[in-house]
Amino acid sequence: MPGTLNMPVVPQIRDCGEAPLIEMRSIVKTFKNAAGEFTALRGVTACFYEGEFVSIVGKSGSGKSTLANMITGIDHPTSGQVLIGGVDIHKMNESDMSLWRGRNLGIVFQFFQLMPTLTLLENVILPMYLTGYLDAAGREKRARELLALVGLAGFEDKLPAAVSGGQQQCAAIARALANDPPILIADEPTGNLDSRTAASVFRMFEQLVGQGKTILMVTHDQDLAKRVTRTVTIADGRVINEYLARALPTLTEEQLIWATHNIEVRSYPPGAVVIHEGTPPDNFFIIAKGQVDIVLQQPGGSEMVVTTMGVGQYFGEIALLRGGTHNATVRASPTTGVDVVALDRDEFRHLVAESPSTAAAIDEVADQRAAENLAARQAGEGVKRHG
Amino acid sequence: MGSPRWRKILGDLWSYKTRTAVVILSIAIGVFAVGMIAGTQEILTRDMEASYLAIEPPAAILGVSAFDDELVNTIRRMPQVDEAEGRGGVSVRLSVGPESWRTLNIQALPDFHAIRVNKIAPQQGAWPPRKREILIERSSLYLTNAQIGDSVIVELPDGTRRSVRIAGTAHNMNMPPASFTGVVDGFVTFDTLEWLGGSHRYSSLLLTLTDTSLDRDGVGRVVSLVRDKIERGGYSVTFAYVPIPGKHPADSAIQPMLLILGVLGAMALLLSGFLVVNTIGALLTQQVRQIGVMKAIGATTRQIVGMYLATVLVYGLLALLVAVPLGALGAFGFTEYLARLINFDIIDYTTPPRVLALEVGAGLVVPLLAALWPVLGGARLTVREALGSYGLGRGRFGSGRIDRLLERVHALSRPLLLSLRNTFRRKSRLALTLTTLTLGGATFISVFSVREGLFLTAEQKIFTFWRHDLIAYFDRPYRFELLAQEARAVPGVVRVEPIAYTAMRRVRPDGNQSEDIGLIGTRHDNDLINATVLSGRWLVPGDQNAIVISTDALRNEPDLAVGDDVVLKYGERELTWRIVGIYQGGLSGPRAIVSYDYLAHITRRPGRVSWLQVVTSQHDRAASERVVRELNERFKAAGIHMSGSETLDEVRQNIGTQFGLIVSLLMVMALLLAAVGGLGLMGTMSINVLERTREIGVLRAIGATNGAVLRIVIAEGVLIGVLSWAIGALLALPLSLLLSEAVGVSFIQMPLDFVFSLGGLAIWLGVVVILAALASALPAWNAARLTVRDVLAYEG
Repeated sequence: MPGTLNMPVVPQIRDCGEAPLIEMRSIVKTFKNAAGEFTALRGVTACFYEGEFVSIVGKSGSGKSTLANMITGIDHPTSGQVLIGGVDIHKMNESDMSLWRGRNLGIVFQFFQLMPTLTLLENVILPMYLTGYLDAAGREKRARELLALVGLAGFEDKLPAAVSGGQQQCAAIARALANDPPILIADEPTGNLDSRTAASVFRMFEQLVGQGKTILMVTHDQDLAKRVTRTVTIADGRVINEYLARALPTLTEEQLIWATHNIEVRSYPPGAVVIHEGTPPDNFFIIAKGQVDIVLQQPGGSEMVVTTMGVGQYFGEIALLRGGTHNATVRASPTTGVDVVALDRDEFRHLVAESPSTAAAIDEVADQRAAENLAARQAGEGVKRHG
Repeated sequence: MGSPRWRKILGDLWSYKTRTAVVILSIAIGVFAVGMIAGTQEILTRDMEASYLAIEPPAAILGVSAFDDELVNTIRRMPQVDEAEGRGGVSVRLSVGPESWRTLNIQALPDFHAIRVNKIAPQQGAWPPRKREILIERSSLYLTNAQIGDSVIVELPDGTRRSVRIAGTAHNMNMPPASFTGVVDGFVTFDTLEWLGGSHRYSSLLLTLTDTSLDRDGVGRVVSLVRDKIERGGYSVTFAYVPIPGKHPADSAIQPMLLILGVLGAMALLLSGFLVVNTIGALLTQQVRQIGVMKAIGATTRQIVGMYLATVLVYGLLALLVAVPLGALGAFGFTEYLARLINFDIIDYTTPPRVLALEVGAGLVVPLLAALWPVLGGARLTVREALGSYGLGRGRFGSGRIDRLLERVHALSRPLLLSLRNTFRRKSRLALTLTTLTLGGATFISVFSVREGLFLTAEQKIFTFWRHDLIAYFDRPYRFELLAQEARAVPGVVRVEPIAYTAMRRVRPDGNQSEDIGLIGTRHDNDLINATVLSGRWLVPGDQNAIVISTDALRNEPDLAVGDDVVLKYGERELTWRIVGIYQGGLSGPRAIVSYDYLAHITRRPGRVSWLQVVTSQHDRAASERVVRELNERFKAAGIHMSGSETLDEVRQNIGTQFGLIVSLLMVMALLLAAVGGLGLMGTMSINVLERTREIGVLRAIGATNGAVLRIVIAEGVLIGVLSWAIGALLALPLSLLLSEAVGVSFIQMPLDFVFSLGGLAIWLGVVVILAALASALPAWNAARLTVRDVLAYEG
């Protein structure tokens, strides 16, 4: 029966959580040019949820802009589906998609892409005009409000060439918000800005998320990427498992890709045992969702919850590195259950052998935990909860 | 505030002024060509016909032995006759300088205030002229070397000289232009006519008919009735001339001209169409990224298509604003020039609706059609394709056969290699540009070829007809020996040759008569006449009623051919001649060559001549004029009345004037087509450079100086120009042949001698190279002046 310590649980594979706002299913994108074929996205599956502020990061050529283009409908996948709000957007024709996009997505480009011969005010009005949003008076009023919101009150009648790059990008953000779309997609929005302006744009995005918008931001700026709700890393056309990337940041991109290919996603209902104390190690686990309790068996058959672990933390590493058997039981939280990403023992050992820095980092954590477990066992202390 | 769509359209127009100007000019030039040429055609045809009909042109002119108003009234009462009017006339000599004379044909009108037929309108000065005064036809005043108010000396047929005052000028449209004939025309009262040696009675009867729908044959039948009535009245009809009803005499010369104009105008419109396709295609290319952005923010395909077609419409309207008035000006200017030449007035300056409709078609419909394909193509691009379109220039290079061929070219400097390969990056645009420029260039060169062919033909076939230095005309036939004796006594006269000249009219099978055909009676072996025999043969010894007819005569008598018998009327007698040959006419009116002996015999003037061919020892103009003066004095002293003379220079001048008209028409068209071609190149180069502004920035970032950038771009432009020149030169060969044939057959009834104008070839090369350099230099200079940062961030 699930939820008890000694019961094995059949792991379940689950792609996305409940009701994602944006769902990408096995997206493949191949480009053909004179030099031959180039596959930019290789079966990407990803989900984004309402109210998230997600950064999509990766090196140049990794496929992050292509991924953003799949979501915006700017480009079409060779295979796969993109569902936004339940709508398979790539089933629409170009014209219908343009209209849908204008109403549901706001796009912020790296190079601003304002109409050079329209004033800032007219640029912001343009999407409303194209989609028939509000009447003429309403459009102008809203456009002025949006420009004020982004700090451009007084600049309404300027042409883009007459304002700075930062101001142009702010105007572009105002334009993206014109039809009040629930989702904003920003492709390198700060790529052409100085750091101060970039920071101000980023603050604006944070405010918008706070107001309920969902923002996906393609960026190569690692500092900005750290400040978001979630980071999706793309490498060589594949989405690196974010939990792997978060848990093992010292792995190289290639190692992360390899690991992503070799992990298994498992779900454990509340209370289910993930690993038993005293059993030989067979996997390395990273928590993707929910929590686990680390439980020590006491003499007399009682249990002591030593600590609780949450998303992004890993377990099972001590026995894998030091040998022997697991020195604690790990059980899905009785309230939340847990989703984990599991890496096979041999694959884990292969990975740490390839990455001495990762091995050293995990080793350090293992040492610390082993000491904590020992101390807890000796002291008979109660639950120490860790975020 | 207006809608953002219109704001964008107008903003784009204003912000990219160079591009706007190029597109508008591309459209405007086609509109202008249509407006000018169609306008000229319409106005000329409409006004010439209207002006001609307004003068009540005679349906027939009959020469009748001395008659008066009684006969006129009798004829007027015939039910078929609408109006009848009698006229008198005499031909005298007018002194135009020291011992320099011109023929003055004088017409006497019965009542200047009530002219019923062949109306003459007052221009300047007195109306009507008083006794001993004359009104000169306005187009021939310049030939008199006198002004209104001056008194001039006229010499009557009997040698008497009178002083006549020029009281004013009048205008009669129904006369051949004085610039063509070299003859002065004047109008007097019958009192003055009598004083000048004419008769106080009428000698010609002018008629208009009640049924104005009759064709020439129908008119001829009425003329027969009239003639019968006249002869029953005891008068004799010496000739009856029926012109083509409703058609001005110059119509047969004007129509081919208008046809050629129309063809060239259609060509200009076609080239302009190519130009428009090219420039609008390039304009759309530049807008592709903005199209992508608009689609990204919600614009549907229909909205995009509508926006850009509206843009093209605005360009078209602006082009119409510019070109319609210019086309009208061009049409009026051209028509005025032709009208002055033909001697009629334009009465209606409004642009005909048909021309406006054609202009609107050229200015709106053609650009919209031209824009449709690129607009639809641009609107159908995916957003990614559209947004990914900027970078280091567009255009594919590398996969085609031409590209691979160019890749093998290594013997040039890198910058020149870049120019060479850049030229072929946008192949469809290059093809359109080359087509426009090549056709324009080929036509330009062909026009020069035709011009040279015209003058060569004139030199070799027309001017060589007469081998004398001057010809003297006499008011009546004189004995040749007498004339020769006096002429040979003048220093510088080397040789004289007799010519008997008589005018006869052909009696057609239907009984109608032609206009005068001048019969030149000469010895069969007279080498001072060098006619080009086109078919049949020349005169041979023993020929009697053999006649060699000119192509000028055949124009009005197209049914005649070698071997036919032709009946010519001389006085009351009808004489049958056998056509033995046809010779190339010299644009001097309908003429024919016959045996001197036979002509002298049938005109009962054996040994007498009315023309004398004179060969002088020196052949320059001054020598000829001196000899003319001295001949005048000698003949006068001998009691011989020389009615006029003509040097070879004067013949060349008259013919040159006629040719000049054709040539100036063709040159205007050549310039127009050259302008279209040049504009096409300018547009292409401007847009090529604009598209590659980022590339230019990269070049400068890696070390290219402004000068190097300029050289690369200018070399590309010049390369296109030279390529078009080479292809155009090849195309000009067959085109020149075609045009030479068409112009020659239209104007002088034979194809012109073919000349391929090397001068035209060289001029076009110079024009195209300069145009190409200028077209490339300005945009390249603008781009080269931007900072590298600006250029790499260029979002035009």
